[in-house]
Amino acid sequence: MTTTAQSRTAPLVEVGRWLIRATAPVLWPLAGSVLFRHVYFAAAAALLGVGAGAIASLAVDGPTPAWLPGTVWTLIGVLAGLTLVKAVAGYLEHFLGHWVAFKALELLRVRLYRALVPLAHQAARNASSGDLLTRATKDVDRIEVFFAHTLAPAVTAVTMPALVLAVMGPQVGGPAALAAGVGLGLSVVVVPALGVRASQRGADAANARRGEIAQHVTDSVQGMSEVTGYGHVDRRLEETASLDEALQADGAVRGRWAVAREGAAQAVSLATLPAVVAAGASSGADLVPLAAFTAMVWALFDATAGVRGFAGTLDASMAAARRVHQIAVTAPDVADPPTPVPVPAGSLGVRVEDVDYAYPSEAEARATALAGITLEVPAGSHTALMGASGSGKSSILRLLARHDDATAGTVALTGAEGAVVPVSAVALEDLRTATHYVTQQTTLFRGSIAENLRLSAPRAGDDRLWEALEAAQLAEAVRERGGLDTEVGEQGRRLSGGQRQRLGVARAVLARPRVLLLDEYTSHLDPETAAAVRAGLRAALPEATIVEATHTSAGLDAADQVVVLDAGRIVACGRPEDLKRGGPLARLIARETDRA
Amino acid sequence: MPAHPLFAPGAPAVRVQVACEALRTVAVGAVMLCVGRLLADALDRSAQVSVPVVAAAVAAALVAAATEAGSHAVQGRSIAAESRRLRGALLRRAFALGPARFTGAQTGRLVAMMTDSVERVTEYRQGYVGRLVGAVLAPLLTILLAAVFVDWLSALVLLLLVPVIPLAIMGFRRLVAGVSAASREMRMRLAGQFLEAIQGLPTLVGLRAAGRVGDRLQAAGEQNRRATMSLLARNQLILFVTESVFSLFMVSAAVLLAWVRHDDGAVTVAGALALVLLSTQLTAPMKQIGGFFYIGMAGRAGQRMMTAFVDRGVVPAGHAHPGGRPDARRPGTPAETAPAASSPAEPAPMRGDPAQEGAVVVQGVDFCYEPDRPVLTDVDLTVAERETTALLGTSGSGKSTLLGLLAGDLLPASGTVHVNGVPLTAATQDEVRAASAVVQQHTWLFRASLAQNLRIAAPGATDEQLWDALEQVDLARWARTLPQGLDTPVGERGLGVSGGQGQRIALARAFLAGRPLVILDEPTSQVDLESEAVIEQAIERLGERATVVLATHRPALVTGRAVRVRSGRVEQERR
Repeated sequence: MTTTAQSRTAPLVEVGRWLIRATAPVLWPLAGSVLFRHVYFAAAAALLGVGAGAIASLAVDGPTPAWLPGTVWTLIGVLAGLTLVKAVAGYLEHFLGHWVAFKALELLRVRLYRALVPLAHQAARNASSGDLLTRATKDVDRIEVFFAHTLAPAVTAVTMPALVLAVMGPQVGGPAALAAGVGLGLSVVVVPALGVRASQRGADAANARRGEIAQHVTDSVQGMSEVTGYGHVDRRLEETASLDEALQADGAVRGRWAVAREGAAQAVSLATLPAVVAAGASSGADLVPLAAFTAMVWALFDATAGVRGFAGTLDASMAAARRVHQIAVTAPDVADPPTPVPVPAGSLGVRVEDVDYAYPSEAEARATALAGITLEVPAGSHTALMGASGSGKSSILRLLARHDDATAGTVALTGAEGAVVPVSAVALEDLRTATHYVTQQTTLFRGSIAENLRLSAPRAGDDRLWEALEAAQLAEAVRERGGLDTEVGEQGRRLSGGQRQRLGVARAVLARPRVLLLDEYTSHLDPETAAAVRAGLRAALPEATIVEATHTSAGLDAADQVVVLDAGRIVACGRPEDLKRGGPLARLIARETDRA
Repeated sequence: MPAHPLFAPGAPAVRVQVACEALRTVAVGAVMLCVGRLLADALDRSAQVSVPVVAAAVAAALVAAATEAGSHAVQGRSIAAESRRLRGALLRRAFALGPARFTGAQTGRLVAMMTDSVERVTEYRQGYVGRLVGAVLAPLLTILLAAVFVDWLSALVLLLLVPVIPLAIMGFRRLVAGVSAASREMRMRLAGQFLEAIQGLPTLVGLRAAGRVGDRLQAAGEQNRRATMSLLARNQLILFVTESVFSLFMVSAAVLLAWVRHDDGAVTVAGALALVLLSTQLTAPMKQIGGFFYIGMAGRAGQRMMTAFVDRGVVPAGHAHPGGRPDARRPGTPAETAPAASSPAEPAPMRGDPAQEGAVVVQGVDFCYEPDRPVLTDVDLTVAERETTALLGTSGSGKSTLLGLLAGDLLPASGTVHVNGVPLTAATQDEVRAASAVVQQHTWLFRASLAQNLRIAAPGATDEQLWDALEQVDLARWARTLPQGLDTPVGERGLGVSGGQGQRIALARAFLAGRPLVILDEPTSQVDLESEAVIEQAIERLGERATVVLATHRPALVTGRAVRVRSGRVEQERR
């Protein structure tokens, strides 16, 4: 994705606003989640407060305050009641949190999916972008965690102590309330902020270092032959160890601050209690409320824990949100023209003129994929592009299907009476109707064979599906396995590679394209089946113009024209029987698998 | 917990953590006892605020803070140390298994295990287990404190209530186990569908089905969400039960006992108030339950993966498949025995002919990766000094495995392999490796400069020698056009290098290494025609100074002798 580099710096505010807009319809129950978390901690504090107050009221002479139970049975009733309230509130808090999280997850997933549709080809172009897709789905999950488990605790950590202080403060007097306020305030505001910046820097450094370690491990594993063969085992292990040492050093600062925060939190919470008692007692506060208050403050420190680590989680969640936002605002490399031209009627040919093409890449110097390609495919004919892997044959097919645009030159469809329409002038929907691309790896989705076939022809009846399967030499296998409703499994894993490939051919037949782009589409088939599939496909689509990329000679004879590519250039072009006599095509054929 | 030796050294740090947590529990309890005392003094009206009690409370608070900090510090340090040790051990193990045992698909998983899984496992073992044990100890220690300083009878009652908690939770868990599994399964399936659609998006777009599938996903997602929520509504009852049980049997029981025993006059007001405050420590295990499912599951899954990798079955030498000869000369040493640490090399049963520089002698060799699945059977092959020999054969015939033996990456199950006069055994594996330079079908470039990538083969090579080697594979001209010449970064995220250029760099390494034997595995099957011509010429020049063994599909590439490999057997033939 080339355009993502610019949007990487999208301000946090913009990302936040986008996130809230995207999830706004489901956010209101979050208020319920926060509310029940308050109820939960109020009940927890009351359990201790009631107990301490009741014991204290036995010790002092005088009337028991109205809010305290007087007998053992009322005490049991109150304790059981508070336990019940606490458990119900805890249940509702989590249920509502999950409710919001799952709703938000669904919304974000759908949004991400729709944002990715116009970017599909550019995102899938290279392997690391493939990871980007997987990462984006993980990012959505991480945002879910933020909604479900992070926000409510952080809010409650601040508001709950404030509420208790407001209610109990007048009963215990200023000094005791102040002592509690200072302790809780330190725990909520000061302690979590200890070394936040240094920790953040440490976290960034550690993340970068982890990336370096992953790269080093990848090099060690992928390049193992060189490592063991040239005797670098010990050196590689030492390097990994020293990277780990560096990681440890990166984490040390952050670790020290985390230790300081946890220690300080413990010290503050424990020191607050004697301070409250001493301040209350010396200021002559009512002692029964003071005992209750002291116990409640102790219970409240549990609620303040939610704010520690919030900064770290928030940062990770916002980084995730930023990556998803980035995808949502990325402009596609390939888009519909402002005023689309219709595809010429009738049989279509293909014309490629002076085309150069280089993969978009972040690396500065990148070998060009195609240079000076000129090619004419007459309507209804069959052209084979032959070359080694990396020679550029698939790139030509991708430009024809407009997965990307050429760096220079024109890629066009030709119609009757000299009509020439560049593929970039046609609406993408029309282009995808006129052409059909069969790849080496047919992508299947969990579901039945019929569902997978109908992806290319939603309204096709069963008879048409069977016709297509017959053409692809797959009908018999499907019948044996239980017919059209046979499940293909995750990514079609219940089918063999050859069956998946033939399913791709059947899809092509159903799509009834005018230009058929075939990319090593019989590579998993034995020679006899491959020949039958070729014949079946031609018979099913007799009018179609075929452009086929291949690195083997199988089926070359069916082609009207063979174009030999090497390192992104055309090195020979002509009829197969002429080219086979010598030169580059003969050299490529000589490479083929020794079938002896 | 299965104490696999791989994970054994992690324990001492965990013990320190548990000790810290235990001490902290006691210190927190001490503060509570002091606070109870202070409150009781205040209620007494006549007594002043007792300075020694305040001092004791502050001292105990500091001890608690110090042990809390100590526990975290030990945790952080042991996570870092253990990550390093574990990663090193796994990488060492991978190197010991050698490159011949990994296919392309496995390497991705291997890298994930050495990075992500190492994090998960240490987070669980060094980060979580200590805390969990500490949390389980907390109620017991607190009850002990209560017995000593407050009231033995209350403590006894609480102790008797402790077993009720796990029983109640486990009983309920069994009741909802099915529901829980179903809910998890449903979430996984939904996530799986979503990922599948995203990864297959190019296909869906090409088929003009992206919009339709999106609508369907949205509908299915919503339907699944509703179902998940209704499952969750029942499933989360476990939370309700846990809360209720802890609150009722620990906190409420402690509060009630304090009140009743104080009312009876058996417990002082100070003790009763302390017992109320201590009750929160009784719920410590509740806070670790959540982590058990997230951290614990991920950590144990990683542990299982690592254990399987380390115990991965390597068919020991001498345990040949049934067709192999039972009187194998070599003892049954496992192939992965660390070469450096092994016993001295066995006496070579035969020398003489194979002592020629770079010569290869293979006699009666059997090999299999898994028992009962022979890959090579009774293979004999002799390649004389500076002879070029091509192995012809289809994929799966055993060519690459034979090359792996010659390179010293695999050890024969039976029979002997001599390379450069050295008999191949676990002890001499590195010596055999040092005799050859290997060029694979695909060349991996390290994320380093071009010069560093070349110097892998010869660390001491001068720039001049590097240029010479590049000249041999006709890359010198190209290298001169690079922005930083030899110092240009290559590899992932570096300069893009085509497959042909990569193979030529690998050959340049072979020139630099100057080793007596050069092993090439289909070096030209995936390259452009220009590279192919260059590589063929370079191989010829290498053949003038070294023994060359080459696996190929192409009879045309063969200038010297050709040997056919078919179904794991070598058929001699001359051309």
